[in-house]
Amino acid sequence: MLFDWIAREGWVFPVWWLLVTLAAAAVFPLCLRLFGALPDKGYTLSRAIGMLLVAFVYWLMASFGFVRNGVGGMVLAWLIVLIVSLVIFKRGGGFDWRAYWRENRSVIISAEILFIVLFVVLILYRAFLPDTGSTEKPMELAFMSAIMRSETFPPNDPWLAGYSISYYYFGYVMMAMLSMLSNVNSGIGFSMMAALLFALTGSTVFGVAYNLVRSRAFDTALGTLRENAQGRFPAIFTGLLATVFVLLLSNFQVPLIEVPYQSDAVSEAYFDFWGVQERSQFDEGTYNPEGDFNYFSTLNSAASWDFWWWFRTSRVLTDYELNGQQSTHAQPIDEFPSFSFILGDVHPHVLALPFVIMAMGIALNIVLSGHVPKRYEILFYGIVVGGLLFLNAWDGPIYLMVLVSAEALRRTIRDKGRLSLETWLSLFLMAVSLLAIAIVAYLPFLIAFRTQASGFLPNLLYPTLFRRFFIMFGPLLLMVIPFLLLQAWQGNKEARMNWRLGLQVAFGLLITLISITLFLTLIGTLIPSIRDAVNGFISRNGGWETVLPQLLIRRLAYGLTPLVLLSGIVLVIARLFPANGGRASDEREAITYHPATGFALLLVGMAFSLVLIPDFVYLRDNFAVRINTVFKFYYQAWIALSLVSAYAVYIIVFNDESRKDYEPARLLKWVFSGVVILIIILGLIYPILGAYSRAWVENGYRNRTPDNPPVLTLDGRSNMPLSRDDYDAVLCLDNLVQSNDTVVAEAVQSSYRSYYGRVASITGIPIVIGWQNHERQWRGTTYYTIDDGRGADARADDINELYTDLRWDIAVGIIERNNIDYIFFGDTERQQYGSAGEEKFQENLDVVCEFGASRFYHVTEDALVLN
Amino acid sequence: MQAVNHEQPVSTMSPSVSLHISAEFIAYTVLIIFALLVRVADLDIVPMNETEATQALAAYQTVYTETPVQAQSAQSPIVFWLQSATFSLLGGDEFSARLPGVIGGMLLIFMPLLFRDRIGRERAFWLSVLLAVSPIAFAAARFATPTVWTMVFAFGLLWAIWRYWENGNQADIALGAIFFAALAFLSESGGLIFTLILALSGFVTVWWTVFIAPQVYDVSGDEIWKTAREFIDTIPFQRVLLIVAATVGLGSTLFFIYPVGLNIVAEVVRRVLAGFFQPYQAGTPPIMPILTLFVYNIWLVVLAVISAVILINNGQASFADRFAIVVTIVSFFVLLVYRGGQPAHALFMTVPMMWLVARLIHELTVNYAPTVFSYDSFQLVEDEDSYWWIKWVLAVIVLSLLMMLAVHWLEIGRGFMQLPSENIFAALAEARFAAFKSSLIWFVISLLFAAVGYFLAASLWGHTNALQGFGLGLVLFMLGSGVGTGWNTTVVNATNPLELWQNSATTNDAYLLRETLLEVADRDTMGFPSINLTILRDDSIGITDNGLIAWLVRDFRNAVFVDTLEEAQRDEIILMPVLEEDPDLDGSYVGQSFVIRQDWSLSSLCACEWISWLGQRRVRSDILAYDGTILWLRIDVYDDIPASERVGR
Repeated sequence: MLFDWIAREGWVFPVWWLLVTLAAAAVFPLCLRLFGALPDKGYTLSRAIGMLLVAFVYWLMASFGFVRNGVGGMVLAWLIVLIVSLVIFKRGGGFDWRAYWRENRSVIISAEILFIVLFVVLILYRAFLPDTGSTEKPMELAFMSAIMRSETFPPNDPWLAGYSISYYYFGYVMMAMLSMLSNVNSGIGFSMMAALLFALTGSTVFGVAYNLVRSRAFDTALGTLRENAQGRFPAIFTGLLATVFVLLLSNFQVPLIEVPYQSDAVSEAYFDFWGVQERSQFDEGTYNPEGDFNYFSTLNSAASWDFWWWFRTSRVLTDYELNGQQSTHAQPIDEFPSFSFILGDVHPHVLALPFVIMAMGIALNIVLSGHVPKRYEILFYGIVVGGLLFLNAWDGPIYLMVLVSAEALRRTIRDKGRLSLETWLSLFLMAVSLLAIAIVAYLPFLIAFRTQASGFLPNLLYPTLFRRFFIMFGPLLLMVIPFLLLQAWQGNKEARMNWRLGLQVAFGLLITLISITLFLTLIGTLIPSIRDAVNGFISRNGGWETVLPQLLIRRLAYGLTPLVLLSGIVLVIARLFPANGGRASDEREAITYHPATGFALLLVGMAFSLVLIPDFVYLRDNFAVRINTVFKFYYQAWIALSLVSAYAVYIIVFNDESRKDYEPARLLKWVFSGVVILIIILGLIYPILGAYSRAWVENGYRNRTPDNPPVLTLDGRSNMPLSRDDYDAVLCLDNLVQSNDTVVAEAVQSSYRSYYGRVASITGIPIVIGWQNHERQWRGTTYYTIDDGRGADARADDINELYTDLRWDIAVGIIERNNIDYIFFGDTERQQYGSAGEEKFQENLDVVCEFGASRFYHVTEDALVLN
Repeated sequence: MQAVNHEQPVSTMSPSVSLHISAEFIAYTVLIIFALLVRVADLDIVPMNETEATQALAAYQTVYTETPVQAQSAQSPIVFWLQSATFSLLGGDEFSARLPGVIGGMLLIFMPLLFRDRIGRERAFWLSVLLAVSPIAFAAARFATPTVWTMVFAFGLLWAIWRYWENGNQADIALGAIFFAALAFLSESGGLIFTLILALSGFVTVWWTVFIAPQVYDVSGDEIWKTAREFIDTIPFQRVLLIVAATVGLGSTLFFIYPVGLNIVAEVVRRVLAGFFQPYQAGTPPIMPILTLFVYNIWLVVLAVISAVILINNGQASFADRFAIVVTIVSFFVLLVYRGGQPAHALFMTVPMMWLVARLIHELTVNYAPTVFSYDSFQLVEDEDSYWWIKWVLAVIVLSLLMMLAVHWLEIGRGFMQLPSENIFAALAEARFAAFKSSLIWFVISLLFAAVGYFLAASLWGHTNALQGFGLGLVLFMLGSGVGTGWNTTVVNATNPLELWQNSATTNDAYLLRETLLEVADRDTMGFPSINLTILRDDSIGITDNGLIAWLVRDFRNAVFVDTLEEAQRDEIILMPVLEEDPDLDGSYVGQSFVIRQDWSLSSLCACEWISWLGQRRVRSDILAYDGTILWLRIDVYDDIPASERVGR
């Protein structure tokens, strides 16, 4: 089974490895100059940077029409990046390669081995489960196929013929580039990209954590190794730990909720306590009150757990109405990377994953560097920020703030804990510069980009309850909080904790958030639709006199979450900006923390802020609730806290410096180590059982016999839940049609059904209209004004009429209006519309690509002439 | 009183301007005229091959936008732009499509003039002559192969580097950067390969110089390295890169008039990479450029080897000579592994070999004092010029001998081709092999005569003069046969699939097809190419919307390319591949078939056919693979029924 698969598709791995390694090689000379402050000089970041820069140059050239979408343009872009990289390297003077290799040999070898291992592991997983049919994967596959087929940029929207993609598609450009360069179809490319993201994320976060720790071995002023510096093993170990925390660790949903739930023997009161959606009570007839709960035997029986039990880890946060019932609107999503890779979606937040970690690495370099960013560095940072915007729009502003904050931290350390007005102004200018560069560099995308986002809304009703917050972030909090406490203790010992400033900032933040909430509430009352909705809500819940006190009580009852977060922020601020800083006596240093620790604290502050914000305000989108804001912010918070957790383990367990300063060190170390080990064990249950369920149980492979082994493949297209005839017919059309201005008609439905929009997903050929809900989200109000004001819904009506109306003249009108070239009549169309409507096509059109009862009808000019 | 003379005295009149025409000027004029004539003559008599058509269509579509073709990206930016210009000025036909190649070929002939001050006017002239008569350069020029431009730019680059080495002028750096950009990115995919070859060869040549420096230059090798490093350090690379980027950007897009022109550069880069894994055209034998060199220009190889051996043995090889030797060797090995090599890439080896041979020719014409045999003893003649005629007489004799050998060689080839595989000796007794046997004998006799003749001449006038005579004879034979070989390749055998230059030959039926279509248009649409023509695509035999067929129908604006037979049914005029059975066109049609292409594979050659194939491009069997197309006219179109009365689609 395995060897057969390797013989068929095994070559794809070395080709993709080579491609990303070549991208890294092109930018490595540039990294040596850009990341001089990092111990490894950016080696572990070079793959991500290489992919970003080459894709950026290529996309820019194609967007301006200098190159067509093809392999030649990609190679040219790589050459350009290589040349620029070499020029910048040469301008920087000499470089001691021998010393570099001596210092970084072990991290380079470790990073390469780690990358290969992670890559292979997830390729294997995808070979068992090349899923492209569930959740939003058909959409992702459609984007990728469309980009591969488009001759020019912006690429065609596969689900709205005649228009270009209105979504952040940069990650899909990278997917398409790698697929085209390696000459694989979009199905294989999809699986390979998922695996590559896993490996790239792991190796990049390994590098950032390594650099974070290893930087402590260097004198920050001189850049030389300190005499009593530790060896490299702790740094490498921390890097591996960070990889585990980011990539594999799960929240506490499985160990604390899912396992008891699947045992069917734990009392409902237990689940009622946690109140997690779809896990608050048992399904009828499943609860066995007399059963014994045995944790390990429940784990052993994972093969018989509920279908898609693993999905529940991302649905921990649960909003409740004032009447105590779970809210019926879309509940928040609290996804984390391990879940993302088990699910296998290649959504923008996953595509951006290695690059946001890369941005953290860049921020670390800023903190460690001893100079104001140079012009070409600012340019590079701007391109990175714009790239994140283009990858996953939410990440752009977040990491813009991270980069600017990193510079602020560097100046804080330089200026002994104080930021002057001049510095603030300078930071503001830096932010503006980065934003301006990002906008200009990615203008071809931003100009055409339409979004569903339309302002902010206050979160009055649905703060996060602490116990559910603990389920989500507990594994990381249990490592981060001791680290924070240690910092507080250390700072106190040195009389450097600026509690006053910390409290001021935290309080200020709280007041600001509350003010914004109230302000938005006030604004909302001025908008008739919102005012009506609010009035309706108030009247349903007993009037203002009932609702207001309930709101207050809720805020207080749920207040532990913001209290914990704000406390953390107090600690961070108090530690970062020392008391008496700037006015310290000469004998004592103002800054007593290492810049690496300062960076870790910065990440904690960022993460806690991101988690706090959705409790008060969120972005208004199609859902009109906080589902997406929580999703995006919590995801970034998880990544940041994972990295800090690894650093915390190093500081508490390995760092010799801190051990000298506190007692009892050994006891704390052992207790903390035990907690960490327990967290890791509990956290790894999910990825192990989840992968097993997905790749082995759900596939039905568990029941296969040795003479009927599974056939492994990376080709996700073959895994779509289509009939064989449909699939063969679509592949036939894919081979037949070479152009990118062809339009196909197929059945239309709302969203999340992989057998709708399948022609576009597999071939990239635009269809008249695909998943309407998604198009509505992507295009916002313009969804209703396309086609000279007809709106996209009119297209769906046209399609329905095309397949149902028996009259050919009506069909001709629809065909001409939508410029249809091919009409697909497959199983989906037959099931949705019946067969009667096909007769008119049979009488008037030629058939191409016929398999069984699935066929494409080719529309010719002559056929449209009505007699 | 003295009379007043208002006439000007003669002595104060302005001196008249006199024109001095040197022998060199005359020689070059003759060379221009000759080279131009043979390159331009009958340029459009031969139909385009698939590669030419694809390249030309890219430019054609840019100029004539209402064409049914869907051209691929061009393969060469420089040829693309030149073809766009010639199409605009002269119309889109075979002549104007091939003109850029001719221009490049003519420029190439005169590039040695750039080095005239360095190598002397005689050597420069001989180099120009060799470039003019080389069958490879000739074919490359007439088939509009971008490789001629690669060599033009390479000459320019080397010249700029030489000038910078001698003068240190910054302007030469800029010039060099422009030539570098043109060579690497604006010529063709081989340009980048040749750039790498030149760079590697430069390094190897310096290393070689370092090795021999103590003996030849009386300096240490370290001095040479130091000099080389210092020279490289003086090059302002950043400025060079800027100029290169500007040249590529502005040149490929023609100052941003045509932004997507940069895509052609991208295609060039892609083809370079693809060439490491796949041939430029399916069915091309491996090491095609090397085969081309040995098949078309074997005598150049022989003479170049002789020249190299003489130069190295005598320690007379200059840096440039060493560089030429290294370029040849490096090119050989690179083209050995590079699958994407085209026949014209043989120029990578041919041109540096010509450099060596030009030096050899110059040496062959130098008068050396012979040792003349008199009754008593050998006497060294003091006056070197007195026996100048010896080598030329010998050259004529050798030339005659070689011509005789060539004639007999052809007959031998014919004979081998007819020999049965069994009972060979019995067959030889037959009368039909009389000429074969006779030629075989005369061939051997001629060879013996040549050998004996050499020793005789050497005994009379010394080895030097004898060798000069033989060498000159070989050179003359090479020059003469080169023109003939080139003409045969590009005109006589252009439609012969056995010609090595093209592994798939376009036949004259291509022109016949176009003429037929034009005749139908003449009848049907008053001479305007507006007939309703449907073409059924078939990639396997090259009926695509960006290949040879597309070129033939380039100006038929109502031509439509379809993918299935059903789409073509009932159409007025259908062009489609020949099928095993007559297709169902849902109507009455009259058809005429055309054999557009014929294919032949070198691997089908057997041992007995090698000589006849080399000499005459003939093989035993005439069974060749061919790609046939058939033109169907609907019966009402065939019967010239007016369009308004036609019933069909």
